[in-house]
Amino acid sequence: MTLSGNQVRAIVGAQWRAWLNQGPKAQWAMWLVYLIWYGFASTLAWAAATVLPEIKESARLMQIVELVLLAGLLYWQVIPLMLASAGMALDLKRLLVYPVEPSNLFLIEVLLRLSTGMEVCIVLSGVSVGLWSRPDVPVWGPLFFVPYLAFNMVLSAGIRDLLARLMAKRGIRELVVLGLVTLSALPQLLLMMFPPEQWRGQQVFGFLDRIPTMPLPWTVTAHAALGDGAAWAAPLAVLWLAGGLWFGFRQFIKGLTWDGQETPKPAAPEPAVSSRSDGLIEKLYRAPSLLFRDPLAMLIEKELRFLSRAPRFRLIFFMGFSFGLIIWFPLAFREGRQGGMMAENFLVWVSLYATLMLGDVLFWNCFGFDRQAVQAYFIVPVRFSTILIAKNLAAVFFLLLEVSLVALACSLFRVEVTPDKVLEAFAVTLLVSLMLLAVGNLMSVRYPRPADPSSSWRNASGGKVQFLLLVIYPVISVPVALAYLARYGFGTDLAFYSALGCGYLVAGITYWVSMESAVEYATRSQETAIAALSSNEGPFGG
Amino acid sequence: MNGELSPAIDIRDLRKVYGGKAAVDGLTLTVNRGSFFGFLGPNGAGKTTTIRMLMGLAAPTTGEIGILGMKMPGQALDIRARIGLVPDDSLLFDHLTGLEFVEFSGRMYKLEKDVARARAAELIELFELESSRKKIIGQYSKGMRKRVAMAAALIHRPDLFLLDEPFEGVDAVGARLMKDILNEQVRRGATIFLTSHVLEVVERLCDRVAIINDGRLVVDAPMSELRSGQETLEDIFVRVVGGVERNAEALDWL
Repeated sequence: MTLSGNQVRAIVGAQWRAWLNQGPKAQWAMWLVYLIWYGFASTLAWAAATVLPEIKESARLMQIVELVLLAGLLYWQVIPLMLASAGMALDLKRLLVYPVEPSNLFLIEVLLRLSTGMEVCIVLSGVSVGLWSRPDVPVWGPLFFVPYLAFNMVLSAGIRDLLARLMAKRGIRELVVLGLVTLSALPQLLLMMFPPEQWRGQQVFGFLDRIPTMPLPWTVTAHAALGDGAAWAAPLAVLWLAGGLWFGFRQFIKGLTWDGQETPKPAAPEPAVSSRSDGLIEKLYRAPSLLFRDPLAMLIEKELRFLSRAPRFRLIFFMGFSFGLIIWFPLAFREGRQGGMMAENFLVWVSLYATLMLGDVLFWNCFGFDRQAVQAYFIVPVRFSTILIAKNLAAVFFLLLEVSLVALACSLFRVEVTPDKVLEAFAVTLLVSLMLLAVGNLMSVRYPRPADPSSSWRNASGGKVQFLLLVIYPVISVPVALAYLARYGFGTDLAFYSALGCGYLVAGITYWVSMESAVEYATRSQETAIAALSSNEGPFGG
Repeated sequence: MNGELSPAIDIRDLRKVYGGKAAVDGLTLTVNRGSFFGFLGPNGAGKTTTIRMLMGLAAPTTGEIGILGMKMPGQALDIRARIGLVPDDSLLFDHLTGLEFVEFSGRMYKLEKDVARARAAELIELFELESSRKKIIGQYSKGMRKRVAMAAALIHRPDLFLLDEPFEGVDAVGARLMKDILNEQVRRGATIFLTSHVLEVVERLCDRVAIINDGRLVVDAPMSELRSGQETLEDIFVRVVGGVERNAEALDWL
């Protein structure tokens, strides 16, 4: 490996200038989001720095540090997978034309992994301060968090590259997602086996005491950090880092030489059954013509075809009724919680989770995937409102299909799915989606961002969009929350549906007003929108 | 192989298969140093795939690629350091200014920062982009984008240029400037490997032409030989590639 500082500085410098060239308007919101998010992480760090010096027993301290390190690893490695959002990465397509050493690119790629785990660094700095305040912890001990953080970064880089390649292959992508779903069920199963209600007093620590010490990354780092058995823990921590580095670099190099188009297509002719199912799907695509007239029908058909072929959309759609169900199921139905609020409204809960997951592809940036088509939308003799309505109707179709699949999956899990509950799920999801569409139409024309439908991973949203989402989600939830409050207060479904009806009225008016504004804004700023959707920012991609 | 005497590009039985279909099928081609080589073909013939393989961005399924006496992909970094690429789909960074991007390219080719900056400024002036120096590339016209791409390809004084549709969208003044610069590069010994659909330009600039169709080489001859007959390059191209027979009845509404 040889590193050329000049090239690394050139890449980072170019990204920095690309970011500065976007102007201060695009930056303030991002700083605000960072302030809120990292402020939360800093609070946790402060809590760790305050609490750790007070812990009397060193064995207990060891367990707490191990748990924090494990939680950090899970946060860094697993959460991006669950959100299908892996943060910033190098745009290799545009960098590989230069004679850059792969080691230089890998170095930057690894540093970019901080974008998905900066919170862990902040929390561990608080843990370090807490440990340094203790006389029984050697001064050099917390320095072992540094190789642990580096291990997480190289591991994250390797996982990202491995998944990017796997996710690009049809069939394998679905298998990988299935594997991830199964993996994500593991903590939930553990929660079912050891419900938090039993986490009283010494029970948890008693359980942890019974687990034999294994030389896992977080265990050896905790031992090295506390100076307990550092003679064996420290070399093991370094070995883990070396292993992570080997894995990460190997995956990165494989990614460099992989051109993403190697998937073999079946050479044999399609079997008759497949032709029949293709015929059915074709009829489904053409179904809008039965309900609407052109150009609306054709526009909806185009959306249905386009979205159902976009890997990013397919992944999120699949995750909606699989991940969602598995993540929330044990929390809702764990022992001693039967009849709880989440269990009673499980179908609605999972449907809303799926709706929010689909937000990025269906609502907030509905022209992002469509960047090539946007110019055509302004040229064809069709009202812009018709285009938005077509996109919205296609979104509603997919949402209804998603809720139906959630209901089906729930019944497979033997969750009670009564017609009342299904009706409620549809009613609530539609209300939320109406609000989301109202706001999403405006955001799609005001803050259009280019997105790659063929990439399974999400591009990073702009700071302003992230900030707006933080504000918008709670506001959008208000009508639904009021409906449930009405049911709770009056104890009848009539009150619930009446409140929901009022919500629909408000959402309908909001949708109408926002549609007017979105059309007016789009017409006024079409040039800006086209430019924004055709831009490639800098050396870093999504 | 002697690096200085070897051809600029030496392709042997190159094949690239995507999903069972050969995009490039048994291509064998030699481009001598100091030549202005036109590489033609209809849409989807395999031109861009060939250029991607020459750059080491796509691995050949089979076959050998030698560039400037070195083997691709084994010596990919050394080869890339001596190639100037003007791609068909833009590899520019839209939020950088033209000057910033050209300087970035120079530094990626390991030029010292000061040298890269000075050369970038000169190239921006040469390509008459000085008046737009504060504009980001995203606000450039298509022709201006091509000029920036050409400036970035020149900054490290490469020995081989791979140009994929370099004149697309460029106005007559810009195109003349680019042609003059390319001819100067050939005179100093550099090699130009050009793809273009504007056959008149190819006919005027290139000393040798190859045509591929469906991934296979169908013509490889000096321009003087092609010019010796009655046919223009366009006639030859249409003849070897095969034109489309119009069915007048089917399109009588047109």
